[in-house]
Amino acid sequence: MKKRIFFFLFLSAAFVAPLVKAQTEAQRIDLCVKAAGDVRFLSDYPVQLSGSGSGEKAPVFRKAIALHKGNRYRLTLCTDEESAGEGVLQLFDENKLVGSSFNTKTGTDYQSFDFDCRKSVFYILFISFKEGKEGSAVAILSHVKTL
Amino acid sequence: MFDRFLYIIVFIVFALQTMISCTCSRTRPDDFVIPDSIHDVSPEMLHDLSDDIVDNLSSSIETASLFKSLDVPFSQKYLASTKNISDYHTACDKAFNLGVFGADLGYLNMYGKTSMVSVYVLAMKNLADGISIGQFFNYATLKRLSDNNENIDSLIYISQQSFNRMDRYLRQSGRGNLSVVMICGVWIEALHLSCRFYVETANVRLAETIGEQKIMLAELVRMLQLYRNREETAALAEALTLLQNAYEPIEISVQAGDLDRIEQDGNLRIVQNETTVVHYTGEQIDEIVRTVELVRNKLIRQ
Repeated sequence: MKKRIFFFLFLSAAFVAPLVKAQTEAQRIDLCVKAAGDVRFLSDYPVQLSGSGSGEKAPVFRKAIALHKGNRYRLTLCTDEESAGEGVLQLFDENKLVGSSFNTKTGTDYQSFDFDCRKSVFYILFISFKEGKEGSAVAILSHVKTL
Repeated sequence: MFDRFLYIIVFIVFALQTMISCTCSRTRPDDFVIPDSIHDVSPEMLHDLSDDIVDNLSSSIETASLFKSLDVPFSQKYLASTKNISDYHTACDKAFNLGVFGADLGYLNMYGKTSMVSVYVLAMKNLADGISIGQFFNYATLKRLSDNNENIDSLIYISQQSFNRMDRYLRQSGRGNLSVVMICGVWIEALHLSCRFYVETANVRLAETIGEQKIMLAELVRMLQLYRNREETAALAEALTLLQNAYEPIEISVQAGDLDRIEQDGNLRIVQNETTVVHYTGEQIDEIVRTVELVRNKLIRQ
């Protein structure tokens, strides 16, 4: 009888676990959307990166995004509580950095930054974790207003 | 006997779990790297995105927001009719019109026309089910939000999120061609609305918005060419070629400028002073407007 109970508990846990994980990701996105403030949601980017060993360079998440002239966008990064590394979000126009959630000169982290776009082009969103640590985060792209 | 059965089941479940955890990860520890310091980023890292699908290409939210900021009155007559959905038989037709309705939904949401939203979300649900992505379209929540005339930002959030999830699933399940077709649908419908309101208002800002879509069109053509051997996307490829011909005389230049960093109350805002300048004539925009109407009405059979 005990074996049967164990068997059915095991089956339930095995099939529920992935659903719980999926729900957690949705909750993380919802929380980060709230953190972005009173803006219009455009897209979400859940990121989970492994850490790098000594001498190795850290892995990075990248995504090409179209931003359109005459709009203010907000980029928000929410590093997960259990993440080992602190996330950094950077926005590039070709090979030129146009925005970052981390100011390397002052050491200041910003959860969000706004970008007044005056050039319709494809930008590249980079997300990495400081010191090449393992980490997980959610980034949100949202529309603030027409300029 | 039961013990043996139990061990077999436990083994199968472990094997399935391992497979699921290996295939469902949405993130990609890419094979190139970026350090904390931006100085170590090489141009190759930034340019090696040729196989990537560009996000937010269609800009339906930005377009609808522009209409509102210009005080363009709401107009239902330019929206695609949901009565034609029985005419959309192929997966490509369904994906394209799902995109078209997605752009119309963004417009309705922005103007707070919640009573009409439910008609469009039902049509979108039917089309999404038709290409087996209905499970990612949050119909119940969208219907509840529209029926209860609830917060517009919530409607936009759930609509956008549903759309993004359907799009991602199409790409993850090896149907990237339908993803591109759906994005084309959103883009053409948003462009159609810009064209209609430009004809009504002759607003310079709308003319610029129409003109600068040359950049997005080039990318859509590139993305569609990845699937050029597929017969079902031939009509769309032909439509985009017609549009490219109409856009050919439009020129876009970049005026150099530095970035301004404005920090206020702990909030950071970056102002880009480098700008794109669209060079066009009224006749060139008129030709684009005519071509957009031609290809859009043909593709949605209106």
